[in-house]
Amino acid sequence: MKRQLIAIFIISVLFATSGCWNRRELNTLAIIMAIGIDKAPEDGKIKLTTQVLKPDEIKAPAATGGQGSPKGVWVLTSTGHTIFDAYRNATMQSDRKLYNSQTKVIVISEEMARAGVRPILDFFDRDHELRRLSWLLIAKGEAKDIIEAEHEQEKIPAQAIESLVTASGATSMAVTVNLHEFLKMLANKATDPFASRIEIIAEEETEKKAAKKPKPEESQQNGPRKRMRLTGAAVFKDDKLAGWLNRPETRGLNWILGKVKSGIIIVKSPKDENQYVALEIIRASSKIIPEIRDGQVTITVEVEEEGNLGEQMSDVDLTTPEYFDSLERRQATVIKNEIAAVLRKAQKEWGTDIFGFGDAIHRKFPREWKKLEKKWDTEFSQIEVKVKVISTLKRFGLHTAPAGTKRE
Amino acid sequence: MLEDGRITDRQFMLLIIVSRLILSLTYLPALNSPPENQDVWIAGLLSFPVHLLLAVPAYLLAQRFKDRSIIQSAELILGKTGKIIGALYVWFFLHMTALTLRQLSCYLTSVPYPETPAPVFIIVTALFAALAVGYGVETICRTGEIMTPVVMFSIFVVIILIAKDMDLKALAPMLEKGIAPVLHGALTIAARTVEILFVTMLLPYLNQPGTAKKAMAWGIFFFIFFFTIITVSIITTFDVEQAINRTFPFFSTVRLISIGEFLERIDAVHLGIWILGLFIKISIYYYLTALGAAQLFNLQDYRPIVLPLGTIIVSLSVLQAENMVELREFTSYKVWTWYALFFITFLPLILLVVAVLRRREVQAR
Repeated sequence: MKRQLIAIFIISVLFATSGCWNRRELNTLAIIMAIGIDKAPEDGKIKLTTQVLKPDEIKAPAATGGQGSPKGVWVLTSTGHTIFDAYRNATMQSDRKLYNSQTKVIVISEEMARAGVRPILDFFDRDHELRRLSWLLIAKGEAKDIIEAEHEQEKIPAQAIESLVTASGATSMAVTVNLHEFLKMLANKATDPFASRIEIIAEEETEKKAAKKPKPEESQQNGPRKRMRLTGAAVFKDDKLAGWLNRPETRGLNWILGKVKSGIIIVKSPKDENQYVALEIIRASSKIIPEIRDGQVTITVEVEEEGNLGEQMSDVDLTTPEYFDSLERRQATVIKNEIAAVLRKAQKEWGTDIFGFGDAIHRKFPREWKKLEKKWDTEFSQIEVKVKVISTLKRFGLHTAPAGTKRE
Repeated sequence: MLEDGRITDRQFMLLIIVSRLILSLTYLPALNSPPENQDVWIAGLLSFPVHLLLAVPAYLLAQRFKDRSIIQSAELILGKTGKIIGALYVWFFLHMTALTLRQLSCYLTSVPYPETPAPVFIIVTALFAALAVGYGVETICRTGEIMTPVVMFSIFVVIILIAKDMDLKALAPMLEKGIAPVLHGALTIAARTVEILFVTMLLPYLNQPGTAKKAMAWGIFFFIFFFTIITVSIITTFDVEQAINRTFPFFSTVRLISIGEFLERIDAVHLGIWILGLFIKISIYYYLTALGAAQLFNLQDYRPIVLPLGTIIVSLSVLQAENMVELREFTSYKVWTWYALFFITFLPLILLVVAVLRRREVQAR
C-alpha cells in the first residue's frame, strides 16, 4: 500500500511541477498600457485603439543618441462588433497576443459615451485580466487622438495620463475616477456617474498664445504635435453622457463630495480690486445632510475648508485682522459660487444626481426613500439644496507684506 | 478499529473553521441569498444560534453513541433501514468531495488558468487528497492545524490592506427589508455548515470526547467572525449592487488592493492559500467518504477503497454539472439549503427520536 501511495505521489508531482498549461512568456505578449474606444466608421462597429508597450525602447534609452526620444509605445487600431472581438482582431496586426493586466487608462470617445457606456464596460469587469483600478476618462472628441498623443516627460503616454489624473489633487479641478468607482456609481440606482474629461490641445495653438511662430520645417515634418490635457469632468445620466463640467465646476463637484485635496482660490484683493490674491487650500471636508419635513426633501451641504494666504499682488499688508476676515469671506464666496455652478448644471440642466444625494436619503430615510425612489429622476431637480461654507484662513507664509509696501 | 489516529479538540475546532470558511474566500453564495442586501453580515451574526440549533440533533446522537459514527449507529438503531441511511451519508460525503473539487476547478479555470481542461485540476487534487486520506485522520487534522492559522492571518492582512477603500456608509440602512429575510438568510448560512456532521463521524477519534461541544461552538463562532468581516469588507468596497454581481466576491476585493503602487496584485498569494485550505476540506470529506463506506460494508481497513472511491468522485465531480451556471444554481440557497438540512439536521433528528423511543432495545443489544 505504501509503495502504491508513493507511486501516486510521484506521478502527481509530475503533474504539479510541469509548469503552467497556458504559459505566456514576456516576449510573446503585447502589454497594453492604454486603450481608446471609438465608434468605427462601419455601422455598429467599435474601433479599439491600443497603446502597446515596446519593452526594448524602454530598456535602452541611450542607444539612440541625440535623435530625440523614440516612442516607447506602439499604437494599434482594430475594429470589431464588441470590445472583445476588437481585441482579438488586433492580433491580426500584432505578432503577439494582447495582454490586458497592465492597462492603466481606458479612454472612451464622446460619441460612444453619448450612446451609453454600459455595453462597453461589461467586458472590462468580466474579463479576468483587467483590474478595476484602471483610470476611466472620457475624451472630448476622438479617443484615438488621446491614445496617439505623445508626452515630452514620459516615454509611455499612458503613464503620463495616469500621472495627470493622480496629480490633479494639486488643483482639485479634475476628478479621479477609476473603473471601480465608476461602476459603483453606475450600479447605484440613485447616483449618476461622472468621469474625468480629457482633450487634445494642439501644440500649435499653445505656441500661438505664447506669440511665437512655429518653425516652418518642424511643423511640416510632424504636423502640429498633440498634447493632452485634463479639462474637468464628464457627467452621465445613467450610462449616457449628459454634458461636461469645466474646471471650476469640477472643483464645485469635488467640494460637495469632500474630495478637494489642494488647490488655489483666486480672490480680488480687499484693498485693490484690480489685483489678485491666491489662497492655498490646505484641507477640506464636506457633509451631505438630507432632511425630510412634511414630504419636502432638503439637502444641506456643509463644506469646511482651511486655507493659507499663498500669494498676493496688491501693494498692501494684508495680515491685519480686518483684511484677513475679508479674505475669508471672499474665499467662502468663491467656494459657494463654484458649488452653485455645478448644482445649477446638474439639477436644472441635466437632472443628474452625481452628488449621491439620493443615496444619502436612502441611507438615512429608508422608508421615505421607497416612495421617493421611483420619481427621484424628476424629484432631484426640484429639491432645495442649502450650501453652508465654513472657510478659514490660518497662516500667511514667510513674510507679511511684499517688499517695499508702505505701512498704513 | 478502522482508524487508530486521535485528534485533539483544538484540531477539531480548526478543522471546522477551515473547512467551512475556505470557500467563502471565493464563492460567497450568502450574498445572493436573502436578504440580498447590505444586511448579509447581520444574517451571518444571527446564524450563530441557528447553527447551534441545527447542530443539536447531530451532537446528541454522537454523544449517545460515543464509540460509533452515525453510519454505525444508524444501523444499530434501525437495523436494515439504518444501512440505507448510512449509505445516504456515504453518498453525501462523496457528493461534498466531488462538489468541492468541482468548485476548485471552476475557480481555477475561470481566473488563473482559463485554457487548462478542468479535469486536470480535479484529478491532480483528488490524487493528492487520496494520499492524505491514506495517512489517516490525524495527518489531515495536523495539516489543518498548521494551515488554518495561515488562512485566518491572511484574511486579517487582506482586511487591513483594503481598509482604506472601505466605506462603512454602505452598510446603512440596517434591516432595510425587515428582520424576516435576515432570519431566512441566517438559516441558509447555517445550512451550509455541513461541518456540523464532523461530530457524528469524528467524535470517536477525539482524545477527549467531552470537549467536542465546546470545540464545535468555538469553531462555529470563529467561522462566523471571519464570515462577518469578509462580507463587511466586500459590501463596503463594492456596494450592494455590485457585490451581489461578483462571481468571486472576496477575490475581487483582494484584486482591488493597491497600496502606494507597490503592494498590489497579491491575488496570487490569496489563491495559494485558498488552494491549501481547500485541499484540507477536500481531504477530510474524502476521508469521511472512505471511512463511512468501510463502516457501511464492515471492512477491516478503509485504505483499499480509497482509490476506487476516487474514480467515482472524479467522475461525479466532472459530471454533476454541465457548466458553471448549473453549479451555481445547485449551490444557491433555493436548492442547497434543503438538501443539506436533510442530512445535517433532519436525519440525525429522526435517528435520535427513534433511539430514544427504542431505548431498551438498543440497550438489550
